[in-house]
Amino acid sequence: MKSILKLALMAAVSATVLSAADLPYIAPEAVKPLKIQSKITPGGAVEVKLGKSSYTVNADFSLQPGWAKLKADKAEGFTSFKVSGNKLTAAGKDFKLERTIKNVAEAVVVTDRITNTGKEDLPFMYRQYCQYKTKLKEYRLCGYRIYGRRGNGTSSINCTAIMMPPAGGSVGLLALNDVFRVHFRSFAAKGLYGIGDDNLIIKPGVTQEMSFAIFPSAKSDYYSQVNAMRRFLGVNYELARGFAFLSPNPPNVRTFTPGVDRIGKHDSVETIRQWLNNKSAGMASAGAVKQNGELSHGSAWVKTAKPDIHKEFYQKVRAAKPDIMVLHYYHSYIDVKSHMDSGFDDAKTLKPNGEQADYRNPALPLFFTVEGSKWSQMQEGRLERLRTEFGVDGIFWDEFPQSASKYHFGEPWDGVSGDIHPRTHKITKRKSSIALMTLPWRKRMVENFAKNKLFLVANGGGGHTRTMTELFIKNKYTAFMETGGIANLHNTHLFTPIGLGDHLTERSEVDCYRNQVRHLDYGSLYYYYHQQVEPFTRPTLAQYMYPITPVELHEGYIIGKERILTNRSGYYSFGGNEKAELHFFDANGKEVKRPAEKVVKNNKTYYKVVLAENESCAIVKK
Amino acid sequence: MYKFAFAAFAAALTVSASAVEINVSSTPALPAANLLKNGSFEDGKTTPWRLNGGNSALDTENKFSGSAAIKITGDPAKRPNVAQSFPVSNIKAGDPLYVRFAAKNSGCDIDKKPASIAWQAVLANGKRPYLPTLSLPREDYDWTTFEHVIKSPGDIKSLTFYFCYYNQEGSQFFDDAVIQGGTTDLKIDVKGNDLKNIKVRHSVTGTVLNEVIKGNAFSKTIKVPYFGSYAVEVTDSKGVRTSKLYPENVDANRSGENITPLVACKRINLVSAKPESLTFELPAAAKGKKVFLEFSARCNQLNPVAGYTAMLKVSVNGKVCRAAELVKPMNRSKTASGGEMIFTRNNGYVVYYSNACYGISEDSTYCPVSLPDRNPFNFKLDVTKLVKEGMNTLKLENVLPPRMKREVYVDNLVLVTE
Repeated sequence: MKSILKLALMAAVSATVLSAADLPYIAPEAVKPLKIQSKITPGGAVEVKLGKSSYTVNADFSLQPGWAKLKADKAEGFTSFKVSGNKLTAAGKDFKLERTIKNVAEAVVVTDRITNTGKEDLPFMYRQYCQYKTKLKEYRLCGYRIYGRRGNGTSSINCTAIMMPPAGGSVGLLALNDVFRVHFRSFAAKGLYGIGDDNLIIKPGVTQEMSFAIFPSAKSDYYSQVNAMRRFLGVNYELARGFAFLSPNPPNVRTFTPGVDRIGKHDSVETIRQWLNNKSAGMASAGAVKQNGELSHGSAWVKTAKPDIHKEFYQKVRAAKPDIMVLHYYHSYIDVKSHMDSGFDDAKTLKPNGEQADYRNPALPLFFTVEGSKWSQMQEGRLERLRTEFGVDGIFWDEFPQSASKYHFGEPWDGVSGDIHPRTHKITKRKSSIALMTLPWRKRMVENFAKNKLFLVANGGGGHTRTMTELFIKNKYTAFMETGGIANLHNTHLFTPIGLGDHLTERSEVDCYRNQVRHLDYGSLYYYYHQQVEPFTRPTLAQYMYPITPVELHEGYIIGKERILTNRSGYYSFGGNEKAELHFFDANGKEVKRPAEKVVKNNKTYYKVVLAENESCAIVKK
Repeated sequence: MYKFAFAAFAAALTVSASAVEINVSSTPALPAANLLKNGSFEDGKTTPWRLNGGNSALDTENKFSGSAAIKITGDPAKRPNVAQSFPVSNIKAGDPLYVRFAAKNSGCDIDKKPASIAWQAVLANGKRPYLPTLSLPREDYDWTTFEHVIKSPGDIKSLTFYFCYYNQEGSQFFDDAVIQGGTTDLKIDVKGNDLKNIKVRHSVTGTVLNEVIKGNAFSKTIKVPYFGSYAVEVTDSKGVRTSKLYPENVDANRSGENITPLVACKRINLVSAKPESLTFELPAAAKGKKVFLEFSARCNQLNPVAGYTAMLKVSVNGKVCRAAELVKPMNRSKTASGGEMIFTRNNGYVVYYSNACYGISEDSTYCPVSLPDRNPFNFKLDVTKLVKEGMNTLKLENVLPPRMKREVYVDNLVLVTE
């Protein structure tokens, strides 16, 4: 009976594990500049050729009513129109257009300079798209694979449309400039697949530059496109440390596990050391602790913060792990109504009906930070206090680009945003992008961090604008996305590919480990979420996650300069003959010893990894 | 008569072994006649339907049941419809009016208005209002039954009913159309020992009577909708539930070998804050076998699929069913919009908002593309570890707050042993 059972089990195992002969060989791509041919067509569209594949990107610009169109053969809706080499000049009612194109290593950058030649604000819906009469093999909007014939996306970070035509290869469209990204919309409808801005307003006499890049590729998978875009954006920089929240909780603050309290100020240095090691945290962010009488937000925090508790706790944390980076929670948009100061009326975020927006709770009203306001001065004071009084090493900035409201419907106006009627194409309402209008102040704060050697971890992504992306790259700051819906990891793909643990489903250390493995389904890394999950009894995959300098993201694995992390079976190589050690984890996140088998093929050393469901492996370069 | 003690079930589904005797009748008698003539298109001709605007014909290849259905071929330049007018005498102001039909579409243009139904009443006061209707999916779908109940705006003298497919492409099919309405007096007589509770479920609109009773007899006449069927359930002091379906063959729950219906009629309507507790006896034949709960569930609304939310909590013997029990739908699925959905949440299982249960087209944002049948409505729970010998309790809860006024329709709730 036993042997029958064993045979049955073996059969089941072999059915789920690929045989060695079937395992794919995986190594980073040898990247070379592509031989791209590009031109502006007689009709003003952009034609991009790579090998035998050709892609035409058409454009629509809203008129009142109707559209001006740039197509392959003939432009429509312009009063004057001229193509000369890689430059197009055209004019329509109340606007002038200058288009230029430029080839770079793996893409073609298109820049449109649109000038309002009229006397009134110009509503200017802006769309760039490819047209396909037959069903695409696959297409992605903002990273999300859309299965139907219609689709929409609005991510300012993964601001892309990627199409895989039936003939093979792929083409990706990526929005570049700040305004385009904050207004971004990708779309699929009636055989048109593209990117656009339906909220652009141009003031009289002003020239608005809109730019995007076209990525042709011989490959037809999403991650090849993402990796080319990442190289273009320069976002493959070192991510040095793992992350966890660790606040100075008093005793008896509950966790999901009955009888187990949160780690806190009462715990010993040794207990904290063990906890940090089990979570493999190189950064620990404290927050305001309600049980200590602190409130998290705005001017309410200013009144209730208890720096002495935090300073004492940080001493313990640093004693436990001398190289730890201590951060503190910060949020720039919310206050607590019951405790807040007055005088912030000019910084209230307003809804279309004129009421103040809130954090889906009237007790937590929303404000915005623009230079010179009392609200912004108060917020700057908070950051300064964290640096000087609390003595933190860095800031954990929650909801960095914007909070629960994406737009503010009042003064001051950001000068470029508005609602445009879908049929008449006239302006129905001016509005201001929170990400855009707060950008100068946030940029100055981030530059202050850099000047004062403060680190920054941002929730909600740092890359909503090109301006902020470049500031993060320069300082190697990190940003992550929350994963209440794990597909939100698509929004990490064009920035630092990190997801926060899922507060909705994680209830144990095994849950956390399994989400680390699931994040790899999206080629993404992991930061630990809240302290309600306890206890942590051992380090797991996160121990071997950082430091990592991403080279390529893929479904199931991420290749970094220092390490490869995977949840898929295969032969893995760093691209040469690098020596490495392999760390395998079972389905419960426990490290298990398995032989490190290697083969040399095409002058590359590959390491064999065979994994079952929920298992993972870190291949760490020696 | 159903007795929800499994031993009796195996022996006979229609004969109660309990001491409870239930007699049900109605005036006028159910089943109600279909006000539409040739509603199932089985007369071998289309009359008395009027085929307006061309493009409509009987089709014997695509049918929901029987041998034929009506097919309307789409044409972007035409507005074809199939209509029938008929006199009405029994539907007064405020009475319920019920329509049910099966429909199927292939090849429609998703950017245009989908097929639709319309019904226009001629009232005694001379007004001719178009009555509210449900809407059909914008995308392709296989044969699906739709039903809808409205309150009559007046005393109806006559009705004209339309199947429409305007300015479209592809093919639209309709079959088995039924229109009924009005009210009937339902007379219920129960005899037994130490009776505790009586519940009367209507197969379309839900519970019409739920009373605590005492003694050995109960008798009552209630005014109820004149369509569908009524499951009269009586519970005695031992917790044994005995049920009778009237009329017997209308809207009956699934049954068959190894299938035990847990209610006699096809539907349980779950209202917020009013959980349904059902007792049943596990059959001896279930010993050593897997035991599954099977049902379809949707959050009823006028429109086809439009989102989903966690709202159905299922407990067996006090233990909440979670991911471990969920066999269908698979707990995790990709959606057509590229997201990932999890059917088991802290609040219970995810239920789709929809006016019908069907395999959803990939062109719908909410389509669970990784489910083999793209059908998120059909549930199968492995409750083998939760049931016990003898009497068991199944609890179904709609966990949405009452202010949201949403009902979950749980259809064909059965126990299956495999």
